Amino acid sequence: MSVEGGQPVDERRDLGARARKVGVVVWSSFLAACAGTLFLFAFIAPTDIIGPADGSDWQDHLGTYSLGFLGLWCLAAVASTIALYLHNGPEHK
Amino acid sequence: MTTKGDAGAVAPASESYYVAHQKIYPREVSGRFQRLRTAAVWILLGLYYLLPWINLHCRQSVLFDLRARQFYIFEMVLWPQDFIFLTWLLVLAGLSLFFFTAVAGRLWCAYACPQTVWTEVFLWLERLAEGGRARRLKLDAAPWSASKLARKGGKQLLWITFALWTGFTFVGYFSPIRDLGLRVLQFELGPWETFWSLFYGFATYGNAGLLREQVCKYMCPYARFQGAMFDKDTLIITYDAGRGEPRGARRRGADAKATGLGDCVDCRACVQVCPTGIDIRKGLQYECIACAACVDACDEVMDRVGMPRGLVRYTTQHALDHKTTHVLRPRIIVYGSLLALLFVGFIVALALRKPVGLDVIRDRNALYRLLDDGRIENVYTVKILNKSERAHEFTLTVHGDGEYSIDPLVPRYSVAPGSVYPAILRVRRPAWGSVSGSGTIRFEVVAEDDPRIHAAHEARFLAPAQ
Repeated sequence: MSVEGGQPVDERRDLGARARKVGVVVWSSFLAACAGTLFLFAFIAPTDIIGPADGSDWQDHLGTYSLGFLGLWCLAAVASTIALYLHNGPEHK
Repeated sequence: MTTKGDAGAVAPASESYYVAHQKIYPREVSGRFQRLRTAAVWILLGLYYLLPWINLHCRQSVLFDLRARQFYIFEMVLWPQDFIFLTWLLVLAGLSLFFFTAVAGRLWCAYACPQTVWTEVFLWLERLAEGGRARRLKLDAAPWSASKLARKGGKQLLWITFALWTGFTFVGYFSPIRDLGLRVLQFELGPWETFWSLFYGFATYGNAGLLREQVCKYMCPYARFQGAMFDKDTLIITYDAGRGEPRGARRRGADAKATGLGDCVDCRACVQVCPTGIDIRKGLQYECIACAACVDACDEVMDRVGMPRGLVRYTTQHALDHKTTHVLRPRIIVYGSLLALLFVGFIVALALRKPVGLDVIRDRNALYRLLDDGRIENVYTVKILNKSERAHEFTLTVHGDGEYSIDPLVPRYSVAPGSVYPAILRVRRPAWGSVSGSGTIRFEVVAEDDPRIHAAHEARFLAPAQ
């Protein structure tokens, strides 16, 4: 810990430029995945994917919803990363 | 190698455009707005933690039952078919945000945002373990010792316990919480329930404990675009520079006019209490979440030095410029009218929502079947949705142009509350009667105990063309 301009500075909590970019990607894709999950599972029931026989188990249902959400999150994160990468065009390098 | 900044300035490539983050040690504050914020924390978090434990009609009052695909919100039961209501609610919430922001600035951020209320609790816990601002500053600057370890460890223990409880409650909105609690005690929690409890707990810990104001500054989209909803008549928290400047310390009881100073005594109390670490005297900044802690702090100082309150206050830019503030203005009228219209529409649509739903799916294996007695048969899967909280006995009938008969002859179905009854129904019609070719038929279900509970669905009856 150091002191800068009379205020103590805790470097451990400094997110840094790279971490902030990760934060932007993770957070924006999380919001998109939330909306996407609501929309997706309004029209598709877990039993449509895993079948009614397996669908009787509560954990199977929750697993389908969870994997659906995590899958959408990954997809949205990839899209956000590509958008961020393309936004920082060659002139920035 | 060099890179070019926005203003055309040339900076070394290795130089970061990000300022190193400074840990903020907000000082505790008391006053009327702090009391309001505390009340908001108690009400909102109280609702969050208690609601899943309150039962209604022998079920959890608020439960997003994923297994049954039904959302229970007190008396209301929403099905996937009612997705429009959820969308409607989200639109209403978004529009309310626009409306209240245009009228009164960042009310949401100051009093109702989950980030604000949970950060407030994490700050209370931090103060409980580590003490006030001065003690926390001293503790962080001190070398590691047993006392520091105990205080820091105690804080982490409180934070983690609270975060886990928050995660558990979150899962309790999706899986009945009493059963969930029992399974936690018996170490029988499912893998996904464990994952989501930890995930949400970790998110709470990370956002409200570690990141705090950085979420508002770097992650919140609303903080970035709320400026578009502001105008000179929007309520903002601002420093009255005309009254406060030139600022400076002075002796107690000294005549400010004689010293040539304004009312600001430059005590920096407004800066010390700010949870985002800004100096409100530099003007309106996007980091300001309008929590009014600086208003309370400044009022307290003004009371002590015997000057009128309100050097930092809720006001509008027009009021500061000695112009008239208009509450009713085009954007308020547009937002307000839309909001009122959508709200009334939502209530009406909800009131008119039928407690029974009917879905008819034609058998896709065969278009139709010619029976030996000369009739044509179409097979349908009929799904009766009982959205009410009572069981009903439903009678199903089929109508259309022609002499239609059905098998079973008098279909009666007893449908449990909140469930779907799937039934196979065979509809028949003479092949060469008064009507020929394909046509539209109407399925109707009526509850025997209450004829007002009914639903209808149209479907195609396929037959060979003449």
